[in-house]
Amino acid sequence: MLIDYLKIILGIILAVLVQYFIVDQINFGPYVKPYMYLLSFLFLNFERNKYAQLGLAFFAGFFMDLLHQSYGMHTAACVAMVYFKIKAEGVILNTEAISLQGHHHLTPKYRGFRFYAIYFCILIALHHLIFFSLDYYKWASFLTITISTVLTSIVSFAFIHLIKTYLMRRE
Amino acid sequence: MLYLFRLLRNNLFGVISTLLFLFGYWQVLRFNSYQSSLYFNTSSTVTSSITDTRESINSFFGLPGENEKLLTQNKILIEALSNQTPFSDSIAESYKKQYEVTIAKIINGSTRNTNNIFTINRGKKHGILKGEGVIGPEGVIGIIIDVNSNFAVVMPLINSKFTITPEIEELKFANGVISWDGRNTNFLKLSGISKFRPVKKGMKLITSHYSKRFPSGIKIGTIHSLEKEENSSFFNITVRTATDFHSLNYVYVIKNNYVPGIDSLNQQIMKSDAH
Repeated sequence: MLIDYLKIILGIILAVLVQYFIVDQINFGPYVKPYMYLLSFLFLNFERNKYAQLGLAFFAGFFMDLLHQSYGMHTAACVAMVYFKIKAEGVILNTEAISLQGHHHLTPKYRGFRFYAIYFCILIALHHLIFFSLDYYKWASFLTITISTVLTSIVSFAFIHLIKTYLMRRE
Repeated sequence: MLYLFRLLRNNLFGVISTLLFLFGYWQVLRFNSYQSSLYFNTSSTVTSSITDTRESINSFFGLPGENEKLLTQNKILIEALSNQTPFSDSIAESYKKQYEVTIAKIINGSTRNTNNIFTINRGKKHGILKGEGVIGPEGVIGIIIDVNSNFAVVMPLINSKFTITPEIEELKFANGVISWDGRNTNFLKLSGISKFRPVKKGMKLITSHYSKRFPSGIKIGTIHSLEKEENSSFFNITVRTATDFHSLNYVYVIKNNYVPGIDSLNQQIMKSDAH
């Protein structure tokens, strides 16, 4: 149990470091600032304690803020995203059906790739919307926040999906 | 009261989530120059080794470019030295050296946010003061907004709160305000330039001789595009920055030794006007 959590924490640290050292160094052009570190806690098991999931998301956001000097922006965004993820799991997803398929998190096998992509894109977009709103922090930037959220969410999802697919194939 | 406790217990997850979210939001609200430097210095013990590692990797891969920049900088300095006015020794001694330069290294910073800041490895111990200008090999970087004993925080041109009045080199005319809209780190906005001025694409923007923080003639950028907006008597100008903020390593902090004298003189005039 403890080793399991230790592995997740190490995974979060690794994901944040990859974000800081590699992804942040790539210039994707205006509006696009993908955040692939969300991968480290977006696919946590349904069965896992919801408070633990919240704590892990808080840790990931806080560590990210520490390195990026973004002062709570990632923390707030990660906590909100995991809160809605846990609520959505109880309402939208049939977790038992997914478990019967042999998975502990949503996969494209459950209701097709479109459902999988929309579900994660909305969660990622929620994170990005909160993050960019706190970053720009003025109503005048509403259009910029919206464009940044939409474009970045698509690129972030693509990143996360590619890495997750690669990791699942290796497993 | 019992009802309140029951309500809290039934919604404990929501309450904890809200509290954690508010903790993050509280940090954001406290975001200002002082907090940012405080935040960095308290967390530096944890992150300094990580930052150092990234810095050394970046420095290694950026060596050829860095060498080129240093050579350019040396060339400019040598040219400046050779063009100095030949004062006699006695006259030169009577003048106090106006500008002092401190070399500093950027040890942390961001270029992805709307309000970007850089942290440099020089502080009060090295004579750095709040409000001093910072330049790089390619041009203006920003100003010092906070200092502690070992570090200083720089607000660069690519911070939405930063503004500067430039001089158009070709026209010898200082007016308008340069600011950043938070979008592309290579482009700034120049506002307040009248449509009747003969401004053209490609003209160079430099620091003006009115500036207290920077020596005159330091590059800010070049005019990338200009549009005449209807119902406005001003140009809408986009400026390409002289500095590439993604590849900064070393910067120069400029101390203007005349500033205390100028400030005290201004205060005296203001006081006498008030009387």
